[in-house]
Amino acid sequence: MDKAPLAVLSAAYAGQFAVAARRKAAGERLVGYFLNSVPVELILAAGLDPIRLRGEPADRPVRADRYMEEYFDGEVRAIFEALLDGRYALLDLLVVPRPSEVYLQLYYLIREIPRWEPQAALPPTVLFDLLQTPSYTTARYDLGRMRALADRLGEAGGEAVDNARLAAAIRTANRLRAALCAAAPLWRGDEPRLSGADALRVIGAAGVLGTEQATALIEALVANPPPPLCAAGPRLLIKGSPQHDTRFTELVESCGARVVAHDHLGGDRTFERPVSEEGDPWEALVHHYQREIPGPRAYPQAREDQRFLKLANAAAVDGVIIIHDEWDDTLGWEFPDQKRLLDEHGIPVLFLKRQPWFDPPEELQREAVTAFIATLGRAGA
Amino acid sequence: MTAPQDKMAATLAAQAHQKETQARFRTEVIEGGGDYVIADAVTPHEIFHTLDIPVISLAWYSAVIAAKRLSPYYFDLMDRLGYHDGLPRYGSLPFMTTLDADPDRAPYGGLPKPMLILERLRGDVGQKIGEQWARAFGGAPLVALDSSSVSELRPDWFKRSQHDWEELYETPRLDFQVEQLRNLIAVTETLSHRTLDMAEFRAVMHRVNRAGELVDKAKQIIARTRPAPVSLPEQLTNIMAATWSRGSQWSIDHLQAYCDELEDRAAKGVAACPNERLRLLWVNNGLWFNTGFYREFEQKYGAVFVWSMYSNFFSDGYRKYFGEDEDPLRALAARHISMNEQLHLPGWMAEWIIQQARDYQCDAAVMLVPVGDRMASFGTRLCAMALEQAGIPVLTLTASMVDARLWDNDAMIAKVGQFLEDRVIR
Repeated sequence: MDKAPLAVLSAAYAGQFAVAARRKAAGERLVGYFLNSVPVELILAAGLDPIRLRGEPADRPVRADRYMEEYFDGEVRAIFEALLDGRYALLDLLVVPRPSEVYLQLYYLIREIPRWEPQAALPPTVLFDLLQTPSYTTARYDLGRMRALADRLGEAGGEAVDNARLAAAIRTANRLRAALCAAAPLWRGDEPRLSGADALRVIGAAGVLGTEQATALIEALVANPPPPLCAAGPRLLIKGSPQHDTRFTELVESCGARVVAHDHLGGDRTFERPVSEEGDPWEALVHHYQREIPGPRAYPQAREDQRFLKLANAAAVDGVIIIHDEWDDTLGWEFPDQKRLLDEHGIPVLFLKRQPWFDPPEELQREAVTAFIATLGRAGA
Repeated sequence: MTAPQDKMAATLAAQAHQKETQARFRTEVIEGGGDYVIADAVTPHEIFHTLDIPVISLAWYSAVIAAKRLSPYYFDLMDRLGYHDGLPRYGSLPFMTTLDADPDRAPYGGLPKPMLILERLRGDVGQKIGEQWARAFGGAPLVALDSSSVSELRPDWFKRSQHDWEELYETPRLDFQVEQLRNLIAVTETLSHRTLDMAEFRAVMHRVNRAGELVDKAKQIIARTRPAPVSLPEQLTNIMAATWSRGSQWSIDHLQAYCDELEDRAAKGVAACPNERLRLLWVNNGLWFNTGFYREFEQKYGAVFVWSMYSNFFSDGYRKYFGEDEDPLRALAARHISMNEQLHLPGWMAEWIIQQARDYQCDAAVMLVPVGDRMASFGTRLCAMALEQAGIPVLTLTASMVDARLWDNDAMIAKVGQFLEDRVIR
């Protein structure tokens, strides 16, 4: 058994800024980004080096709270704190996507800070204004935003992006997606070999490491997987607000469940679909990011819910836990329909609404999860 | 100084116009089954006005529900249906009246199935509510105008937005918005079997600009006249009636009469509060279920709210001038494309409000930080810092804009009073 790939991936996940520093010291030209809605293919095609970053609970919003309302998602507040602390300054460029209003507001706050803290060490920052309304008009707008981002990457030292370079980058990024798809049975299969928390680490590390290295490590993990886990308990899917950090997944697993799938912006659906390698690569990229990635603004909702249900069925889950951030104003609109859908398919659901990201009520969460697990017919099977 | 008088004639006329509009809606739409559109407030109503199709604005209908103190009932319904209590409340009230399906309770008997629902996706929830609402009506068409984002907040938007809007709002965004508007016109023409008349549309656009000029004139009168010749609730009644009827000749005639009456009151010294000693800004969204709150501080402190963002956003934010050889549709695109950003993004919000504080000779600001509608709370912290930096003391009140259950009137009055005593009265 070779655990080295998992250990390397876990270490990369745990130390994202250390990895960034190492990559920078090795001469990489780092382009940081958040979530799943920045086209890494463009960054790769420009010959630059993408790194996906996330908020960490240790970054309590002390300086950030001076400027940012408490109603922002906790993870975004943590990101802003780290930004003000100068930890993003090593980036050659930071691309802030617009998957939701809070990230858009984060972009404007970053742009506003020099007025208040001229000494703040902030990276050059650009907005990537991806829109996801399902229309031809929006696709044309997104194509323009893609080309504008390519130009901005050029200003940051990147190469001009032509069709051949973009097509090659799409193949490179798809290999990483394929590696993650191949790895998914390790946590989603009949005999899981990775915990749900480890799944988050592997998925998270895939964005922190260089694309080629991450692909190689995940392929090595698939080739030499750990033995099946001894853990028993019902198979659960966690859905809702992004769960990039492992706290809640670990809590659920400590209550006696196995988390076998994640449907949120740090989870399984972020790599389920490759970018088409046929036809015009720009149009393929637009279609992928406009229509095929999950996100809070993606709709029609019924289409997104069918994809969620497909994942739940593929993972043969016994139940679903939906967890929403304390100040969620978006995902809660989906819940009544999702509850109906799950009821129709006989899948029990636990809904944890308005959960603080900083200092979550762990005892209450544990109580609710334990009670939910006790209701599941196949618990301990 | 003349003692305060009853409502202005213009206010009574505005209220009568609103009643006429409502009566027309009842006759033509509810009883007659005519076409109408449900639309987000920040959408191009001008297209429907040109086509003579009635529009129900989400913000307006929410405000009516709140003013009738029906919001607690509908929020309870929301809870029962599984929509958790942290979701945005302002835009959800009209949707809840449809799910409730009780015409005896809903204002004006509730909303019948519309010709279409128009949402502008400036946040993340419009498409979610829109889809479910369209389904609740049994399949009403939903048109979602997506909302692009400006890459740079160029300074002094309120000085540039009337003529220099192409650069201010960025050409790719305007191109996209024009395309979306063309799509909207095509859908509306198909559904209504009407045709948008280009000459009439151009005239509507010019009339909106003219109305904006009159709102600016009203601002100048109120800003320079101490004591103020009109109360804030009456300002809101007059300006909002014109806003909802923008593009009509009535809006111009009404605003002209409003200005004339303001001039007359200013000349005669008629005042909302004859013992005015302090002037206050009301920052951020209005307190629609309790507009009387604005006047609670006049008798004891001589403190008068003279401005809210509705006082003159029509003049600064709506006016978009265009040449006779230019496409008015592009000007319409420019009108809505950054409207919320101007009111809620830190840099743009603060610079405009500081300018208003100076223009209106204000001594302090009270800022509403809405709960249950976090989008409307964004930017408030930096805006308050900027106002303080400019020498304008700020009190923030955290409250719902529409949910009377969450409002402790006595406590809020005490809080503002304490603020005035501690930081404003010299």
